[in-house]
Amino acid sequence: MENPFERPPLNVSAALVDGLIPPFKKDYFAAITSNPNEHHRLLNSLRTGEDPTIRDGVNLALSRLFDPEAPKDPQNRTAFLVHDGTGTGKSFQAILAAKAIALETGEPALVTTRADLIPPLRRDLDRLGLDDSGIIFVATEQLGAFAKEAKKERRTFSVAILDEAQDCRYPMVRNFLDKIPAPRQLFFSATPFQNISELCYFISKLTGEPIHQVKNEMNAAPDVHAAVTDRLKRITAAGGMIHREFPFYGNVHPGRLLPVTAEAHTAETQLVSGYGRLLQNRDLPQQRKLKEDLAVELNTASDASKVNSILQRTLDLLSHNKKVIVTGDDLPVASRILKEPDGLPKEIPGFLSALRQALSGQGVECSFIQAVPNYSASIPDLAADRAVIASRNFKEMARFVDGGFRNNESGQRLEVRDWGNQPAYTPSQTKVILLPYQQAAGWPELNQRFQQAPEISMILTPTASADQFIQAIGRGSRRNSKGPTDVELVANDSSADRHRLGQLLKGLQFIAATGSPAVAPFLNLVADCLDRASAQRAVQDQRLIQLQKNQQTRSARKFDARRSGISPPASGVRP
Amino acid sequence: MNMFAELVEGPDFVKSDHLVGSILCSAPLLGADVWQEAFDRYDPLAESEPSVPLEQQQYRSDLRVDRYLHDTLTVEFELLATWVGKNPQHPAAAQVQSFLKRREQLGAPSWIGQQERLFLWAQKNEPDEIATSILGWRLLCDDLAGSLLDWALQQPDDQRGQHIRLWQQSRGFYPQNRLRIWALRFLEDARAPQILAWETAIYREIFETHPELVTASR
Repeated sequence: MENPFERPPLNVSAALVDGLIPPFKKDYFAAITSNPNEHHRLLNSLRTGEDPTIRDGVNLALSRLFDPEAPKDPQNRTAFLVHDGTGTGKSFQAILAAKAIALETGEPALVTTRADLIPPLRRDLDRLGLDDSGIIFVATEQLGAFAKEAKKERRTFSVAILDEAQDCRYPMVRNFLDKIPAPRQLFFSATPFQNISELCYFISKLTGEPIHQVKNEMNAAPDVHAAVTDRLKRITAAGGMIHREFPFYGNVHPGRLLPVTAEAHTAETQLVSGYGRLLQNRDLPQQRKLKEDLAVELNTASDASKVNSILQRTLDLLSHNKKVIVTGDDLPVASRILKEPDGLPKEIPGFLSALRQALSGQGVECSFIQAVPNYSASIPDLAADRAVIASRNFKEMARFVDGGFRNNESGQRLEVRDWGNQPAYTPSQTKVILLPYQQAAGWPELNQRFQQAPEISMILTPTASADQFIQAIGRGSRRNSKGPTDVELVANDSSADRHRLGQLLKGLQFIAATGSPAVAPFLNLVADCLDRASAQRAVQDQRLIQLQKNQQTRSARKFDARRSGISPPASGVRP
Repeated sequence: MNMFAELVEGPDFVKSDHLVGSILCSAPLLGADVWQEAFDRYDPLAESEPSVPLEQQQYRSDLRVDRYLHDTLTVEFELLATWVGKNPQHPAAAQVQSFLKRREQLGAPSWIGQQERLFLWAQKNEPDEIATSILGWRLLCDDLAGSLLDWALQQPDDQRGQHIRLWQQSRGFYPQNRLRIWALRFLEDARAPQILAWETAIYREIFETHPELVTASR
């Protein structure tokens, strides 16, 4: 299989507008010159090389930002969005755009991103042989305080550039950014919007239309996905954004639809009807929570029935020298409805924990990533618990990652490199990692980064969240992947899985409407899996209805026979 | 047939924007629009904490908005109380007197800080009955806040929609905080009484079973 990362990314925007992206009016990139050293070559290659991704991105952004006719927001600002997938060179574009705008205007450019991402940005600056003159780096966490100071000191900037612009999902970041005195805003993100509300924010920014107007238009659209595509098409054609992306690198296998036992179906029915009874005498707040609990119980019960199959599949993959990433939920439950024989609530372990135990029983040691407490990123009181788990998770992840790492004097984790300054290959300690969906984001080193490393296979169970699903896929197919990733979705026809697949499909349809080509194979996968699960369930329900009818008929015959006082014939249907 | 899906759909909260009485508009009486002035004065940068992660900053910002809304309603109550003392014969005096009766229910701002304690306790003590109520209450308020925001977008000129200007981008981490202020301000709206009824029921349950969870400040 050809590695798509060895070619330029797909130009999603060009495909969206049939190649009619407005040409840039000036080569702003040409003005940027590096210090005369060995890095000069990299900058020149970006300027004149075959891959126009970075050059075009910078020039299109600046053409728009300097266009006096471009739409403006109520504060008279122009905006541009670089919606480029991971590995397409967003960081290079961000610093090159900052440099070019500062050169063009003579005013400093402000670049903001999360604090831990500023050092890599500075390293990129160095790789290009550029210094930081004309660029002010500010951590997004400090943007509020910085804006306040800037206002006090009456400082102004030529542009405010936000890398990792998905952070605009925090209203506070939007507020802080708008407080920066700059007439231009430039956004970079691989995933700028995950839902309609976040999309509306960017549409408003890029068109200058009030956000409530955009939201109302979206809400009123008869086909919201068509409306999303149409909006992005118009913005792209007007020169307001650019979108490039790599396709998925790997094989997506048809979904594995596992059989559900009669006992599992019975348990599902018991759960649903049991919760139905519980809901009857509760007030709305309790009902709301019970409904959520029911979903968790059904999901955990459904996933528990997959443990053996996934165990066998994992063992099979390991025997074929593969490394395996299993992604699912890990939500243990003590049932409100189902009881153990001793009358205590039936306890069902979380899926990943159960799988870990099953693997251990087979002598397979795995890396286990633990879910952090809910909302622990937000609530200060939970931060300490979160830090402990995060530290443990980091160690677990390190055992699965290929390559060597060491800590320097200040405790910073450094990758061991060979004589050619390339990461040195060392096989990982574990070959299986169990990753909860909640923790699917991050972990840039889980994929196959070394030619000689075993290939990665991913096994996923259903989740309702398209964002988490795509994040999980991103653990396999990445810019630095040296080999393809196999993806398998394992589901069954339970209510829980059909519900999750339905939600997942809706989320993927939204992502697809924004033009993402990488999502296409997963859209087909989930749609097919849901169709088959629904069809299989319908057949089973029909069979059940028929069985019930037969039983009723038998009961009726039995009843009639007793009533009439006539014994059933010896050869007749057994009651 | 998917019984699960049917069950999840289930009964819903009141979404009607029907008015059972006329809403008090204090601006003509006070000669100033308390809420408009408060919104204009609100400074999102005022308490930014650069050393804290973004998620925590957003959490604290949500609580700050809640407190600000609480303070603003307190100010409106105070100004109206002064006004009615000076204008007892005014045709609007009766409506103002009636509006001021809600003051008692507003309580102290410490109510806002209390929500974190309740939430953390509930998370630890699931599936305790009262924990189910507390967590469900927050989820339900989040649903209602979302529905209210969608409604407000379509009614840009309605006073009830303008009132939620400060929380148009975030429903708040504990949406019950801002919802109760909205409900107290616009009790004539068909959606408001349920918000206060949920709160009353939850607090009754807490006082009966775990009084230690709530402070005497309420």
